[in-house]
Amino acid sequence: MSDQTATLARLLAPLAWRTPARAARKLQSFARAEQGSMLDLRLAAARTPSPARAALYLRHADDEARHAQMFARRAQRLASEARRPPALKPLQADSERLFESLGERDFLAFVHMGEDRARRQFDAYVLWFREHGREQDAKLFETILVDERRHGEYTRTLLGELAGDEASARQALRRVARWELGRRWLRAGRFIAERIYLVATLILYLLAAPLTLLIRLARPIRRGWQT
Amino acid sequence: MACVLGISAHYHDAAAALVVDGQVIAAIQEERLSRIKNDPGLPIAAALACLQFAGIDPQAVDALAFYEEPFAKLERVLVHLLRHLPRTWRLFPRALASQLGSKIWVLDHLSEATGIPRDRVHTCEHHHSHAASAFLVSPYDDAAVLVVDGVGEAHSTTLWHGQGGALRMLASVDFPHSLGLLYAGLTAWLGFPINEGEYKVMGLAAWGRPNLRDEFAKIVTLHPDGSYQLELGCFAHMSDAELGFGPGLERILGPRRPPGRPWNLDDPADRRYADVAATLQCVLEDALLGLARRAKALTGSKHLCLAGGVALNARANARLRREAGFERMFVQPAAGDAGGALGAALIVSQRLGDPRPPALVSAALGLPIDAARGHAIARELGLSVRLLDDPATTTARLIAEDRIVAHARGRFEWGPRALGQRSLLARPRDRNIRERMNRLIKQREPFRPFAPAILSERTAEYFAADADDMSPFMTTVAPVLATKQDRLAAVTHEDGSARLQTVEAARAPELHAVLTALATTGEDPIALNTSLNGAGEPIVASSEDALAFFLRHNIDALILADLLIERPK
Repeated sequence: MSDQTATLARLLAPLAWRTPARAARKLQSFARAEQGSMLDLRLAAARTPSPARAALYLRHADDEARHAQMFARRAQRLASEARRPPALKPLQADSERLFESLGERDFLAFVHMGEDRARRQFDAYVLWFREHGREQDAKLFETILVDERRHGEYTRTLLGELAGDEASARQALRRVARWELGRRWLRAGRFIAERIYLVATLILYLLAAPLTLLIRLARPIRRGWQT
Repeated sequence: MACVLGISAHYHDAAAALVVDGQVIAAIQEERLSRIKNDPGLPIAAALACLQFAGIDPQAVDALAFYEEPFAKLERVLVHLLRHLPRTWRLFPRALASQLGSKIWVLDHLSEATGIPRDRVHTCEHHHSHAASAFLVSPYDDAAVLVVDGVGEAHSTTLWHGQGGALRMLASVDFPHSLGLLYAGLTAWLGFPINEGEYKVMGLAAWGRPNLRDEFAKIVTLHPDGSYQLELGCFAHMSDAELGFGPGLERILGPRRPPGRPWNLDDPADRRYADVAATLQCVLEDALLGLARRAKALTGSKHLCLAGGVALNARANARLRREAGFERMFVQPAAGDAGGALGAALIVSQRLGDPRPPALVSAALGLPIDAARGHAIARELGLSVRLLDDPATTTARLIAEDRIVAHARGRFEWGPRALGQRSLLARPRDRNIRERMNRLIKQREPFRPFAPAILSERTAEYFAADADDMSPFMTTVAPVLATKQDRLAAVTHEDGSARLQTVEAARAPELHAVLTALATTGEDPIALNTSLNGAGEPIVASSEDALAFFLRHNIDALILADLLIERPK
């Protein structure tokens, strides 16, 4: 799976980074992902019974907040360089409350896998940026990669400690990988369902059109005081 | 005697409030716990936190009160979607999905998530919840109540008469005519996010001149009877909930300001945007004045209570207080949608036979700081932690040394204002502190003011006003005395006003002690008081949040309950 991530990143890099507008949107999506991760880690810090782990999660969350700002700043800069500046979505992420739904051990396994995936993806991007003489972008990802490597290492160590032994830690990683597959399946299903729903509601809308006149007559807009 | 949990959710700023035997025990916005600014989701964490704080099992809750009627709302949405066909074709799928997918099932979802049986779940009307949230915790037995927001089920403005524990609706203005949506549309046109940028528009207004009255007369008509009417072609809230304004507005005022562009008020273009904000503020104040005078005529009451998101406009509140003809006026600290949770809980509590609560003294209705946990984590983080005998004196000393202090003590606040329990405090004298605060922490637009907190009994020495029923909750402004503006340079706004908080020991004991300690050392009994949060984040709630804030921002010191965490100089 991890090698697939790197291969996919290498293959799609020319598309993702081709124009400043596309690059800005891509970086903004990374910024939102880092922001979401920050939220999950802060919630984990509040939930874990161990002050030592809470401290580690808070440091990690702080790094994620910094990464989000770095990505967002670069996205803004690239957006301003675009011929038609894209409207970037605000840097407001949602939290999946993964600590609560997965429990601390599997949450750590999930974070570790995410960091590992990000590291491979970012490594591929750094190579691509270097090959194309985009030193500033390469530096951005390299700076963040230093933290990503550290995050990957500490979460793996912590997972081992929490799981008790290596076999249990590996079991947790496999369980989370299966859970992620299931989540992807559900997301794909939702994507398709949303499109079907869109068509269905537009048909419903057209069918309801004759009601418009009736509603305009029976329920006109009311002005002034109503008593 | 009953235990009632009030809930507001699904639009913006979800919240829960717990009322036991008619007493307000706890009230918490979901954003403080989820850490998502203005979190609109079901406030389950907030609800459970309220119950846990009170030591009450969900099974022991007598009623759960939801702040609006889901099916009445569905009806209004459907009617408007069909009435404005075909302009609503893009909104239709989204609105229907949101209504049918979650909003109409909200009562079942709440019952399942909290464990409170479904037959104990009640609903209240949106504006009734707002009106109750203001009147029932106000210090008045008889008051006119004015509710002004975007929209509830159908109403956008309502006038009520509160007497004893009863509220009677007298008149309404209905959607799509709405002062809240007028303000929201102009907020979007000025390049700010709706439901988030309204404060910025209010701050910007002080930098402009209200010289666009003729243009605004084409956007909104104020009638002599106090009602008003929007020119609907200028707005898009009937057909696109996200855009806020329509092409008509750009025809009258010109092209919108691009979102995200840095502000430069020396630039004539940005000056004109400030003029638009200033004119909007004047028009809004005129409209509210008309409504308040109508309320006075209908009720004959000497007191006014205000609720709804528009009631958070502190400048407008100050003008109403001066000119509307009421002797006293009250705005509940969470006047926006979050406040609906409190109102709904109070309405159902009364239905179940409980008495009206005493007047709201303090907004500290959230969870306390867990100092032991904070201490343990701070040590793990390798921070320098010191236990204090007298945190107030230490805080005052740090402020007097021109240091910025994060102050997290007691239970966190209810509503959007930090009132000393989760505040950043600084000396109000030097204008540079504003720049420092903005550079290190807030990253705000340069035109936004910082607020002062002052010992209540010393208010008249610095401001052309006395403490009133609003000033303890920072929901009004007052002119800074001309002779004191230099001493209060960091908290005096461009127009010479300040959004002051008057502090009494009974309302905010920790901050009162700090200000008293400041006064004892010969300093002014005033501190710059701004919310303890980073840019785009909710106000800090727990010790973990406070420590995360300290790690992220280069502030000088954090007071966490009775702990001092200092950064080396």
